[in-house]
Amino acid sequence: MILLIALATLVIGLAEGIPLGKQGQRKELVAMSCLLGMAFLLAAGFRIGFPSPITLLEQLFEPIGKAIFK
Amino acid sequence: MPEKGIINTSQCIWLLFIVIASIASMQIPSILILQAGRDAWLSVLGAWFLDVMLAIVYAYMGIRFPGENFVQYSITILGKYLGRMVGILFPLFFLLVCTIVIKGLGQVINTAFLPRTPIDVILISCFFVSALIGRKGIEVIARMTQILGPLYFLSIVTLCFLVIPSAHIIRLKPQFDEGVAPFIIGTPLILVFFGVCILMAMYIPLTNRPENGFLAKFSAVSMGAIVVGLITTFSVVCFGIEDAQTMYSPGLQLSRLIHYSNYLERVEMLFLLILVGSSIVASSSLLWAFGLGIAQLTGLKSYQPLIYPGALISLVLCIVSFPSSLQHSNFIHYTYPIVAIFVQTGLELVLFAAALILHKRGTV
Amino acid sequence: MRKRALMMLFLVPFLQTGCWDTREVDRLASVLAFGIDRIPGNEPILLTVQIATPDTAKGGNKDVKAGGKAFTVMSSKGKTFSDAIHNLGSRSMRKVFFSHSKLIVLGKDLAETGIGEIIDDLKRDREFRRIDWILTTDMTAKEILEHGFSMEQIPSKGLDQILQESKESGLILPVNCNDFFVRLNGDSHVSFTPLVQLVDIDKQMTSQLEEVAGRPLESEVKPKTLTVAKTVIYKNQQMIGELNENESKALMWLVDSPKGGFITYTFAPEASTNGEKGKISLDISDGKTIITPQISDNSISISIVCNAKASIIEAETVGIDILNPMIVAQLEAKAAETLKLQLEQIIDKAQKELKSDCVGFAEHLHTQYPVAWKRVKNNWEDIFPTIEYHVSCEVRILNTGMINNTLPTNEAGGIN
Repeated sequence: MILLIALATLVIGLAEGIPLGKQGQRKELVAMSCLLGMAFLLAAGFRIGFPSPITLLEQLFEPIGKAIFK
Repeated sequence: MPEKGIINTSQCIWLLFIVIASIASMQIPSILILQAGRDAWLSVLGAWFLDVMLAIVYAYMGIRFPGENFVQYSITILGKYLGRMVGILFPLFFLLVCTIVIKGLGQVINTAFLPRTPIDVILISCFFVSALIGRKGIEVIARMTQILGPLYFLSIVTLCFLVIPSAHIIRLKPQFDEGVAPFIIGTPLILVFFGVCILMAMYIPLTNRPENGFLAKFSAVSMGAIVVGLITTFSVVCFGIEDAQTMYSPGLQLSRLIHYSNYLERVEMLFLLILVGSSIVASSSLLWAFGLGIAQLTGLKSYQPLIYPGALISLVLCIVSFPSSLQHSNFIHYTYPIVAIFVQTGLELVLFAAALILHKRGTV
Repeated sequence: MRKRALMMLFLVPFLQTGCWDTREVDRLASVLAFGIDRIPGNEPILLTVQIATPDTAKGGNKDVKAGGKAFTVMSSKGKTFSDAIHNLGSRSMRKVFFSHSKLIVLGKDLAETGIGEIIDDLKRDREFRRIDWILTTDMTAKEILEHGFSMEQIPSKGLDQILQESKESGLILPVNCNDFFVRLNGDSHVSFTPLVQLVDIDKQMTSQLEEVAGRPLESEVKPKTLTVAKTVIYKNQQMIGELNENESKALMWLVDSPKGGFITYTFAPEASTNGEKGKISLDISDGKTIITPQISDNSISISIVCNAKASIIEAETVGIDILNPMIVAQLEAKAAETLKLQLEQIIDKAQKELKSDCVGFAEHLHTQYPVAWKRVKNNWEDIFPTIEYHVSCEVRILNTGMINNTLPTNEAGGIN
């Protein structure tokens, strides 16, 4: 799975990044790379055992939800 | 503004409707029935009312800050830094909803139609298509919803008419069997799913008549409430609350009940067709909102490059956060409502109050 | 442009997800009906499936293979129901596919020992549909499924047609899985299914005819016939008893509004009107039952009001004047009385013999008096047999068929 994500990161990075680079839109390039990096880090983090942000949300709010809802 | 497209009021209505309907017609009815029992349909009505109330605030803010969506006016109101911190919550929330929608859709397809297909593959293809649509911009999404929305609405209504022979109204009685508590707790539970149409705040600056924002939201939520209400009510009158609350997708099960002697049966594929279409369009507009929101926060000239990365993040979230349908169901039952009510109601009301107190106004 | 084409090429495989679950029609064996029995041993579930034989199911191909039957019956056993389905794969050349099944037959042993273990799978598995008919048999399900009809090539299709017609004809209330499950989940946890039997009707009738004729008849020996006329009652997922033909018809009045039916009774006109004693048959075109519980200081009583619209289809009674409103009123009153007796009989049986609420009083009490229901809910089983009830029926005769009065026999120069 992680390989597939890495591949997707690469493909999206190249497909979106090259035109941006050519047009000189540095800011867009940085923002896009950040998001791609986040996606890859999430996948990689999960691989080595980091919880996903949704799991964190769950740990934070689930007790409240369980108290309210059946 | 990175988005150059302009939509009209009717497109805005269908855009909002399809987001509500696709979210609310998968496993939400069964969770609602678990919570509210036979009073589930009343909870839908209650949520409809509250959401219309909330729409007034959003519509007012849309007029008070002309040409700005909530990501922008949170910066206008709260200043550069605090405003950005608040503003980023909206795009992130849209990404979360997108994750939930696609995972829910993938789960339904995987459980009921393609059991041998790995769910990851279904997710990847869904995300690919919705990112493809989302990158084309709001006008493309709007035109798609203009076709899919009426189709969706009509087919759900037709579906409910067709299951009438299996329905027994006595299963809806008695109302308020366990007092009013189930109804009262059920209302916010379904409200948070209707509440995703805070997306309207992203659309209002792009409509040709921003003053119709409330009208659009009102129509969309009313239609969404009809769809969800119909599915919930018919699930109860067809399956009884005991079975309906354990079903993964009551709407799908309803479509499997349709049979007219020997010629009209097995229509669930049509239901699936509509569900897939609308969920993908809904998630594409959520991805679009995410991309646009982030682009505005960081001051980019275009949001298009951010759509595919956003879809990738959402896909990774799907895979790493919900290894099975169990986590997903638990998340939308217990965690999502708390998060959503905070973003949809809490944040917007804070912004509203701050705008009033600080006398902030948009510039024309 | 080139890059986009490359990207498309890379992602196209993901749009072909359907290929994972591809199923060729000629690799599938469509199950038309299946039955479940309980057998001794460590693999207690015996599954029997009735599959349309592919060659004969194809229209126009009269070139029937050896055996010549349009259907094949296969059995397999397993530790659980799904295990038995799984094991079926080892002897079926084609993938056994349940989505097209029309009915489910539960064997007697299974029904008596409890069906809880198979219900979960019937609800959970995506191939089963909640619109399948559910039937119980007093034999084994295997015997029923192996038996054919003379008029229909595929027996499950024949049974399906019988059940579809039976609601209109008012003979028995057909039950599909959904209704069965919903009733089992209901307040009284009592449900029912029609009973399918193999009855040697032909032999009975022949012997009766022989009695009249006084000689052995020259008729062929015919196989037994599949018959659906009785009802089996389940309580807490276990079969507890059965209702005979008349009770099954009456049950329809209590749990549903019948759309058809038949009342036959003996009618003797009152002294003030003309006519002789004879039998009358009414065809019920529409019926409606209103069940209202009444609560008065700790005692619960149920009032049952039936309304039926009927037409006369046979009036054997000689000399009555059907055009006379008084006679019609008498006919209606007598019919109502007959119907009332039938209903009282079944409620009596439910209270005294079966001691289970198959007539649905619990539901009505719960829907109309939720608070009182909570009080009696836990000992409903003890309370139900003691509940008083009151039945009142009203039959309205709307038409008299193609003629009105029968000619008096003496005027026509008949028997007298």
